[in-house]
Amino acid sequence: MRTTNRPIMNSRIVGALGASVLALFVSFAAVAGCSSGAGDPCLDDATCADGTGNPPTTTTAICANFGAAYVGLGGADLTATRAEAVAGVDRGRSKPYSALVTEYARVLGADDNPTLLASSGATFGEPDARWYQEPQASAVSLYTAYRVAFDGCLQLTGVIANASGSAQGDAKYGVAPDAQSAKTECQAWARKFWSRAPIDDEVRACIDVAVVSSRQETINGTTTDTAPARRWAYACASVLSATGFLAY
Amino acid sequence: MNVGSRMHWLMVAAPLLAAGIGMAAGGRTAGAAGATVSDADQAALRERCATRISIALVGKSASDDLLASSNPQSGVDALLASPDFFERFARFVNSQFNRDPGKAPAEDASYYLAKYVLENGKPWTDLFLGPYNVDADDKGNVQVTDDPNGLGYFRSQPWLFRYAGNELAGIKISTAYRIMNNMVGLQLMATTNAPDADVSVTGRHAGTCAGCHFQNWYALDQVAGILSKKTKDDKGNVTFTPYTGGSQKILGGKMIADDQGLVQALAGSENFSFNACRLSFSYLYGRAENKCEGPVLDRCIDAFKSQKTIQSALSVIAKDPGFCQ
Repeated sequence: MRTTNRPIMNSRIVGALGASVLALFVSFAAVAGCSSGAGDPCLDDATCADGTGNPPTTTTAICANFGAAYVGLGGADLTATRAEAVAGVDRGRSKPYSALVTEYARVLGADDNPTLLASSGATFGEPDARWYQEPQASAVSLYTAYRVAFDGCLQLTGVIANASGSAQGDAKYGVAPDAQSAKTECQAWARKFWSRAPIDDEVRACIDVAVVSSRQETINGTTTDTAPARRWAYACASVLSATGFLAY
Repeated sequence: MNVGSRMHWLMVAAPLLAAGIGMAAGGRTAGAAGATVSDADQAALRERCATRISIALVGKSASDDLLASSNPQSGVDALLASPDFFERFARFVNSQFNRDPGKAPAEDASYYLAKYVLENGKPWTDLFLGPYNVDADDKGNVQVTDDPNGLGYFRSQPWLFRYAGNELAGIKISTAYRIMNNMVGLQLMATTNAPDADVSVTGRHAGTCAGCHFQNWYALDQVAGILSKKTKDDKGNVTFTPYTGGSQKILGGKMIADDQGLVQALAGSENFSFNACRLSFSYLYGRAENKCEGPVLDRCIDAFKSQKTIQSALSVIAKDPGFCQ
């Protein structure tokens, strides 16, 4: 039996939002800096309206329409277990291995396909025959994702040979990155890998890898200056192993 | 080249940076409010939509055509007709209908029959009511064959043996639960497995056990009571003895005499359509619908009741504007 399911006005809904929404708030606050500092754009945000970072205390309906109510066998309310949350939250699913095997080649180019990926199915949740498994991100999968990305980016920047059999990086990667060139490249990579333009904080994080963090590298205990193309590869990998690429 | 053989300090630092970037990315894309200045890039929005649709439906990258499409959601029906979708959704169904993969392929009857139903455009009810048998042939290859005595996969021998259960008197409680779980999404947790617990019918009548076994609409013992009984001989051979006791009042007051009546009653319930759409939503979103997504489920249920196929349910959800936001 189907009847009307009326939305409720609440003061409890904000507190009852799913853990993923709260996590989203935390991550958003971490990036936006939800503090009471002067000129903080967060002060114009409803979620930071009291300047303390606490959730707002006003009562609002989370949506205008909850849809119909359904009464099932034994008079059970079939909608009773629905979470109280706005539509469209909690969407960042990890890409399955079956997609990753073509996603790297899609964004890096057909010849720049990380060889490490072929042996990483179990790490990225490849299921058994006749079975399905929702991939779950973990420390291991994130670390492996970075290694896979670095492999592909070394091919992209011409440090190592790609599927064509030779190193084919663009000549621009032969010049060490500076703030301006890194900004241009980081923005282009983010747009390509994430299918969206990055925000300033995201670009800055990538520039930092290219210009600061990658100046030197330690290999087998010996620290040396990093070759320009490898510096680009490090920055490229930092973008390619972010959730903008790994999630959909 | 083996990156892993050479440990670089950046290999430790960079993932942390990436994780930080990832948090920002996740925060931007997961928010329901959605629209920001950068999202004005409509081409990028369409790319993300194409990627989401393709991976959610077939588990693979979007094609170049879909990535370049001005309306990626117009490609949903083509993806729903693809072998990649049949394979992926059949696997998903199998993982939702069973706790683990079957030890032998034929035990995964829901995988094989779901794939058959999808490939042949059959109504979703055929998965449970259709005249089929799912079993391995002489060479061990699992086949779906026509069988006038079939009841979806519920009368197929490998499935019957897998879920016959171990009730002392041969009452197929496990079968009863699995039928209701598969068809209407019933979720129960067995709470007593202690060594000395009384698992006989007397023990199941006692205390909190009675709620699941005798009192609710899904009362397991009562539903199992109209199914065949499991019999095991001295050599361990299992056979099933048909129930002949006539109609019993189960499922909250319905008079039902056998497994076919049970399955028909479940298929005719509101629970069945609701569960088909929740299954579809979970496939596409990786979670059940929330309260504000109720209207999408309403449209899904309307389409499913009208068109009967699970593809119709999935199509409504995947084509909803909210799916690409």
